[in-house]
Amino acid sequence: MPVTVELERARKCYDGLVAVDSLSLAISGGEIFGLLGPNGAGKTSTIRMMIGITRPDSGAVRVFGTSIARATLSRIGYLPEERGLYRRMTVRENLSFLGRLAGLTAAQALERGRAWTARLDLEDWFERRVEELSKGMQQKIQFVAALIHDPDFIVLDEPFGGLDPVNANELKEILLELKGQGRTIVLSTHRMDQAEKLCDAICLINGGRAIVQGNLREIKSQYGERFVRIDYAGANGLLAGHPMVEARRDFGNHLELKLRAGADPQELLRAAAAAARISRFELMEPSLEEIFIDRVGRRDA
Amino acid sequence: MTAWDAAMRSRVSPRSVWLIARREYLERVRTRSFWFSTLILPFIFSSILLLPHATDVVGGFAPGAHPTMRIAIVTADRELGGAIAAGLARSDPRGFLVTFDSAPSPELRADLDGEIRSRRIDGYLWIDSGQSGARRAVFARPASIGFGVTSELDAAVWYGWTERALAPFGIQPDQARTLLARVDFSTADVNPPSLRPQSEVAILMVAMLVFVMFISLMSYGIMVMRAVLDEKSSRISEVLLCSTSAEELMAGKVIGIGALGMTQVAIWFAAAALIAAASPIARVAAQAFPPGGSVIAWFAVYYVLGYLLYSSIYAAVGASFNSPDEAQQWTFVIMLPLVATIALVEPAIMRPDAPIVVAGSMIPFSSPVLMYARILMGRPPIWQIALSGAILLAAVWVALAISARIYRVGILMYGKRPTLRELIRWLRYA
Repeated sequence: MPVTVELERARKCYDGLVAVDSLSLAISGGEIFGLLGPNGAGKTSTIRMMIGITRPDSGAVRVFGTSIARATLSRIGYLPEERGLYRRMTVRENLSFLGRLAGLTAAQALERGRAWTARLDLEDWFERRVEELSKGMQQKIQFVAALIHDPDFIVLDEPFGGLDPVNANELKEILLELKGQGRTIVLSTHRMDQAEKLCDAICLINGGRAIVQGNLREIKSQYGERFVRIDYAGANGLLAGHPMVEARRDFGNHLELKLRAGADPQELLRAAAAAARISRFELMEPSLEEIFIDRVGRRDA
Repeated sequence: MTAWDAAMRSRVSPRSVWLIARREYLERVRTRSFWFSTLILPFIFSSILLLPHATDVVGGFAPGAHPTMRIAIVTADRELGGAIAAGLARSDPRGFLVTFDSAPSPELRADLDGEIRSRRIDGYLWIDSGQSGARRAVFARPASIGFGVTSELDAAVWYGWTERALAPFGIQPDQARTLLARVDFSTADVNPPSLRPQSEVAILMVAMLVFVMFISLMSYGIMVMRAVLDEKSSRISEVLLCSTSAEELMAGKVIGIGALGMTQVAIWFAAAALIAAASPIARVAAQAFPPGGSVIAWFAVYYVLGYLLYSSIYAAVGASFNSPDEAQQWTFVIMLPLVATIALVEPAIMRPDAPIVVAGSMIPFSSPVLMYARILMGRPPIWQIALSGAILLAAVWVALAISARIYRVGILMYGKRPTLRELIRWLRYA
């Protein structure tokens, strides 16, 4: 798959504050890419450069192989984190306006707006003012607005915030469908558990810098051998101070360990079995959150 | 200038500007508040001018234009009372119905107050000089009696008293009147401006046109600021910037809301024409000051330029802050020159060539109002119109250029309110 978006040592400052610092990343066509990090990590600033709202102070941003030009804009769909619709206009008017602004004709915008609202069970609300809709409905309309012009590259900033589980699931299905159509999707979120389920590749950023990036499976496998969960009985302080253990969380009869690099889990199992009754010993893939905490430290999480 | 700039800036899409302007316009033209604020002004004017008693209301301010007043004159000096009554009869033969009461006393005064309240009389003139012999008269009246009546009484009392005072010197009342006759004093200009409307009605018309200009410039500039603040705080601008440029967004906004202001003014002009056709008084005004095509054309020119100047500045203010509260201070600062212009409107109408007025009509912040007033009041030298126009155009160009830069940075800035130094730094981000 060709690369859809490429950032090359992109840097962006606002009033002397570095929002994005020499960030390089590449997003392949047809994948769901997670842009992850805590609040204030630089996610929104990065997104803004990707979709041409701002340009980097230095470095380069390429979308579909070229620097962003007007023609590129109509191939990009964007769902901002906070809802941006005209509250006093109807759903139809909002979608028609945003669709036409993105290059559709009035008829196309109306037809697609109708089709999408029907698909999301909102056809009864088509002629209602946005202010009459619930927050969840508004968010779905916002989502339609981002997709109405059939973009190849879709950027969603915290798309699941404010959605109930049913709607969140519906959204997930649509995202997978769009991915199946070969579209490139960037998901920006601080909820790492959601990203874990959907993303093919990720970039974890903090303080405007990339901490970890690449294929999600590869990243996890690098960490995979180093996390161990043990259920046990007896022996307070099991494996405390053991040379192979780098970090340890003890819940009384449940223990989570992070091993030092190069440690052999089999040897650890023998040491544990010698000290207590072991009912479970599991080598775990770390969650993204654990990876993030591991790399950044608890302080920033 | 990078490739990015070139790509994004060189092509401002007229279609996007049109779509944005159209949306701005349609959203607002449909609101009740727009129609209320548009129709209230013609409604007030037409109810004043078209009511059957319009002459009473308007005439209350002018001598000799009131219904007959029933007045009681209370004075111990019968001859003085007679002289005053005669004076009133001379100035306004059907204006007053006079009765006399002698010997002022507190009981009489209480009685007369009661008669005013029960509407048997419209007022009484109380002349009680006491021992000092000072000339003192009080006109007791309900608050509704206007200035015209009072000034007629004032004159009659003064004449009457003076006639009486001159009598011991052997001067007869008619001789006294000749002696006291008012001087007809007026001014004449050596270089009369050719188009100056002469009547007071015409001056009133000019004042109204200037007032409409002033109100529109002020309210629609602020409306642009509010629209920008709204879009910024609801984050719509982020969605829009994904498919348009900041310049298109700002241009669309300014044009859409400007068109709304033009709609309002056009409705006012149309309503004025209708009222003029229906009301005799307004017809007189229209004859005294024919609202020809040039009046409207000059209005359009100065409205468009003045609006562009103020609205672009207000757009930048709206983009720089997060809420109307934060923007308040700047709103006031920008409004200040326009408000200060009010002080020069009267001189601009009465003495359009006064140096301070000429100076004010060169300053771009006040020239849309003051130069327009001067043009209506006569014909300022062509070079002054040209110079003022050139300065205004240059100011509009500078304001648009600076505001567009602040706007494109500002609408994406959230959080703390920027300092002036930061705003200046934004200019360099581009």
